[in-house]
Amino acid sequence: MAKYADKVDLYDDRGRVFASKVPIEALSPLQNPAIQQIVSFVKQSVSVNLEGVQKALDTGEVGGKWCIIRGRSLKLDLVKDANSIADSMKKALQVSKDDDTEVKVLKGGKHLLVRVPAKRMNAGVEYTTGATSTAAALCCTIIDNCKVNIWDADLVHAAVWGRYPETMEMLGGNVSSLLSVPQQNEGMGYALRNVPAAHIALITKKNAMNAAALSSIMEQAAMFEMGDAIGPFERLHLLGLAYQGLNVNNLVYDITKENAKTGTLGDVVASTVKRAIADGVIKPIEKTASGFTPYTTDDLNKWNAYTAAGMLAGIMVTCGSCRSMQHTPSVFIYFNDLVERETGLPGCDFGRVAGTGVEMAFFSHSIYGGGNPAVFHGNHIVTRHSKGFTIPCVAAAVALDAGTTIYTPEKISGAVGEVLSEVPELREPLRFVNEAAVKIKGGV
Amino acid sequence: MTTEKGMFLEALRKKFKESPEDKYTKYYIYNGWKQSKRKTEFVAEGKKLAKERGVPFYNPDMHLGGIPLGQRVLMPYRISDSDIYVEGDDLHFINNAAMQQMWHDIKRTVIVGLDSAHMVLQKRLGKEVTPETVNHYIEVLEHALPGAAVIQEHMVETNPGLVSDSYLKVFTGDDETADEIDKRFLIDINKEFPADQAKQLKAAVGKKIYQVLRMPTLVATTCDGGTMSRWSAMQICMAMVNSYKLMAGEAAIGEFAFAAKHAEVIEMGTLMPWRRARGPNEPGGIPLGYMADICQASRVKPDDPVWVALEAISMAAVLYDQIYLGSYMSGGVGFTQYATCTYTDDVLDDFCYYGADLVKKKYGGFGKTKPSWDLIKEIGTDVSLYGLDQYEKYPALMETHFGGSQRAAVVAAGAGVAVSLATGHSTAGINAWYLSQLLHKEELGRLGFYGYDQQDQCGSVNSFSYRSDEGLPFNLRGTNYPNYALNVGHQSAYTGIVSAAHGGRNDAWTTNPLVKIAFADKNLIFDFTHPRLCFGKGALREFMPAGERTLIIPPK
Amino acid sequence: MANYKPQFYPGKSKVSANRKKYLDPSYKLEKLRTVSDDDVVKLMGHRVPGEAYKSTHPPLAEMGEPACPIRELVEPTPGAKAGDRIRYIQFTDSVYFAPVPPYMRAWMGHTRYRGVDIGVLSGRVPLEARERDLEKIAKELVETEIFDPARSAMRGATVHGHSLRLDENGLMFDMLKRYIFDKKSGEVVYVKDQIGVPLDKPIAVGKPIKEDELRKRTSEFRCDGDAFRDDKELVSFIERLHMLRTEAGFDPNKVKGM
Repeated sequence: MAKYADKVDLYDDRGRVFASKVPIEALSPLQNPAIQQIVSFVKQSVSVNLEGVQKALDTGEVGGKWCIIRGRSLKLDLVKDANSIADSMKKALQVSKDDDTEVKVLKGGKHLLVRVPAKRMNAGVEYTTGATSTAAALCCTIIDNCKVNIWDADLVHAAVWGRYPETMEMLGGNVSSLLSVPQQNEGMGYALRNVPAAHIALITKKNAMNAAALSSIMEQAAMFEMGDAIGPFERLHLLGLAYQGLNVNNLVYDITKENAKTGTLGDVVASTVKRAIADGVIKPIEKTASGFTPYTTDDLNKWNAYTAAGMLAGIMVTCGSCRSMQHTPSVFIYFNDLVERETGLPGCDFGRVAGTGVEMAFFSHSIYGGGNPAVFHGNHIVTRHSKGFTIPCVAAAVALDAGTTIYTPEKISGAVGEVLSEVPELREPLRFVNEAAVKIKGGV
Repeated sequence: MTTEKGMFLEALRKKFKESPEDKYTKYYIYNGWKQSKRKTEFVAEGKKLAKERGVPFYNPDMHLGGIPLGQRVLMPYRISDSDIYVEGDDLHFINNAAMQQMWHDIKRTVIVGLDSAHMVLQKRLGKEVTPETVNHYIEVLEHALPGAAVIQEHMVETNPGLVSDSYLKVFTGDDETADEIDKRFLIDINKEFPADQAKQLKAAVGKKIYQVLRMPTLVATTCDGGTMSRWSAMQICMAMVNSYKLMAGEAAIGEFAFAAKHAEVIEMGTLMPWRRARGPNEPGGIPLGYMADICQASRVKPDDPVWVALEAISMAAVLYDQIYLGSYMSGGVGFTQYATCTYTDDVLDDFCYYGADLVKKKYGGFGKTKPSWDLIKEIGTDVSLYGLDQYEKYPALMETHFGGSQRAAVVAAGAGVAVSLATGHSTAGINAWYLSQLLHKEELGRLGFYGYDQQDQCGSVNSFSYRSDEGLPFNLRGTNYPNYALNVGHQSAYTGIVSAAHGGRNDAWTTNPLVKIAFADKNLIFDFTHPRLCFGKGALREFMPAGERTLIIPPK
Repeated sequence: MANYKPQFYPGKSKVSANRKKYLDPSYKLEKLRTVSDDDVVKLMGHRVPGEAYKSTHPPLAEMGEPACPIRELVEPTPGAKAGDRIRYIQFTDSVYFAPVPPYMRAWMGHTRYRGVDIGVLSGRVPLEARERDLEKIAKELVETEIFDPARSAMRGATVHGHSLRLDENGLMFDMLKRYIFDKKSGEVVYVKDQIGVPLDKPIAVGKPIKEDELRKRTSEFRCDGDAFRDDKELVSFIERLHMLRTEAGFDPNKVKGM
């Protein structure tokens, strides 16, 4: 028996209906198998830069920028031997023959995409198992396959693990996971929020709808992990994920389409309010002396979902029309300022998005800066304040950028985003989550 | 509305030659930096030193391609509630030894309980603990704490002339025990606090004995805050071994170390996360309530909680805004300008006393009513609009606080302090601050710097949220609180909002009674009872700090 | 809800009405002066008039875009299509009855223009857009009633002035003296561009708007003009918004019909 009465229609990234009257809980990170698989893949998937390891061994440049250890070099043809390295790594990582271990050779051996088996992950409590087992398996493989002697093993370790454990993370290493080390998390449950928008845009191959979806899935799943999406707050997040991230009832797509040719952000606000009135989410209360009509609602959670969806449409229209990511914080502040002055009701996340926008505007536009939007994520002290509603918009904006920045998403993400785009569930989350929701809709 | 206070008018008249009401003035006639005594001094010094070091240095011609500062009046600032007028430069913490010392005195302090060490001595080691042995132990530690040897036979030591500000004091809530402690070591609660406050504090501490340890200022300037508990623990353990004649390497000694480093230690600040990583006893980890307690103005004028709050605000402005956000986090020099608005020219004083009058008039005094929307709206709105009116009525005031962040901070502080006073509830107080910011934005159509109102936009919703990383009681929030980790011009006055809530209730402390007592100490270099005055002395170059190195450097 | 018409702004005062009017894109801003296209370009200082637009990436049609339904749907602005750089115009507005304060610039910028990035500080408002789009927008911002040559100004850096007293000619203080009051013509004349680089030839931007006229057009509340506290509808609107935000933080489910 579903806890909540909400039923929604599912749409794809092109505004085509996929299924109707699906209970909202079929889209919950607690229930939807595809979301759970995506979260699991995020932990299990690790990118190996084999070419980077080879180069580091060759030059002795290991453990961070400009650290070149004189007199140390090891010439190994790892890229050429990528297939046999992949086979050996798979054997090292595999727990049982039929498990889900995978080591995929990409780009002619320059990169490997590793999936560490769930059985191995489940034997520990920390998500770092993905990166640590991959790095360890790679070290073992190189040393074993290439017959590296006792005197050179330290160099192999540094080429793979970077400067760890002198540093807390694998500084200058060649094994990367989407997730950072736990020490880098801002607080409890922040792991899934610590993924820069650049990675998301590249994993989803710059499809703005899928970028928003993947980001929203990770952000809102994190809300459950943080302890925020529980009790009286659970539905707020379920609706937010559904309406903003997963385009239910085609709200994001419809509002974007309505304003696609000539619309301004103000027009997007009007479309959002119009739709909320039409759908009975908000209703007018008594006109004031000036003739202004304030609104009220009996379902603030749903109003929030509408503003979240409208705001993403605002990104699609504003950043989309300029093909630029830098407008993101301006949309955060002024979509909400305008919607509040239009209705008298709180904007998205009740002020938290506006606050996040204020800080992000500062840090992405000034000397105190943290960089362009592609480097931001939900674990960033500047952008952590909204609980899951801003970062999907940032990811979409980064996807829509035509190349206006010097530090492009490609430069920021390195090979990680590109390599992980090989995982279909991460690349096209909307499709997989919709399919999974339909499968379980009768049982939630 | 109550009556206008006009407290800032005297300062405005000194700052500008025109009347504070005049809307027009003349510009470009002030001879640039030459109008400033301080900047003139900088130029001379810069020229001399550039020659000496052979590398270009301070040169105002570098400013905007030759257009120097001072195209308008480089106005002086009055230290609020004093007759001290200073130049803005004198309030940069680099130029003000009192500001540095205030921070060093906090940073070099840890509090360590003595009772569990006594238990180890008695139960595990079979030693007798008497007033005599306690006094002896303390005297040994007075020798050891600054960096002297107590057990070793061949050991380097620190020069007493460099570390004379390092010592320990003890306190207890029990009068009998206190009587037995050598007065040279004792923080006497009965003497230092007004009777009512002493009673509250003694009841809180009970029979327990605490040590307050001050490491040398030179340690604070050379090492980080995380050093302090380690330095003190090392010397505490050595002193125990010495004074109770213990074997230095037996397992029981580990219990002293554990007590001194972990179980019984109270640090002023907690660790910061990765992106803002700092050790304990660094400013970002000091809760607002601790800052309010560290300020000792409440001992001086317990019946004037507004004055007490204003004194606490000045300390927080210097530490949180100027030193922490301004330097630790941003590395800029501009933050002094943001922060000084809270403790200069009697502007915030005016707004706060206005709010206090309003509270008395409407609610019959301080701490007499529970928070409600009606109260927050009535008081919060009235004080906010009063503050904004003053800027509009007095162009000189608007020019004094020429950046919106300054205006936003003091107007909202007035509103927040007033609601705190009325309700004795600091979280209600901060909620009124956030209302004030929204009203300010709407009235003026402008607020603060680019990122100023991040926490103010998040503020209403997060005031009374109770989710994972939202909704901590306001006293325990600080600059490591997620919403508060970034923006200058807030935490200074936030400290006053905490202070006012408890001052209005005649509480002896706001958050931690031990912290309150630890700074009731005449041997401290900085005067925590009159921080504003002390900063003024620093600006006038009349403040003598600790940690000077003249003994070990060549004479000038 | 076919009847729904955006209402833009609450409040029952002249200032609120002005705010509402300026936010409504169907209201055509009144043109008060003419500044030529080339002069607008010179004032901004990003390119020399006649010079080709510099680009940050190839034209979209040449570079080919990723397969994205939103890119297929959303029409790029002309500047985005061409791959122009994103450049800025920045304004400072005096507190003394300037036509629009900073937040109004952001709000109306987003209701009137497409694809703009606007930031707000207490003393300046940068508006960024693709360069050819920006030039069109800038012209309207300079030529119409929302700009007063004396109490609004184009300033790239060293912007202080919004809160300072006016000079003897009624001009807002500018440390860089980017503009002067030409007593002969009664006009304000820019001698430097917005960042402070001297112009080859001075550019007149018209006469200051008269005080009584400014007071009619302003969207700034002041207690010596239209006082905010007198617009009780607006004050209680903000109080309610704050209360709703706060209650929503405590429990969004309890905010019903409030």
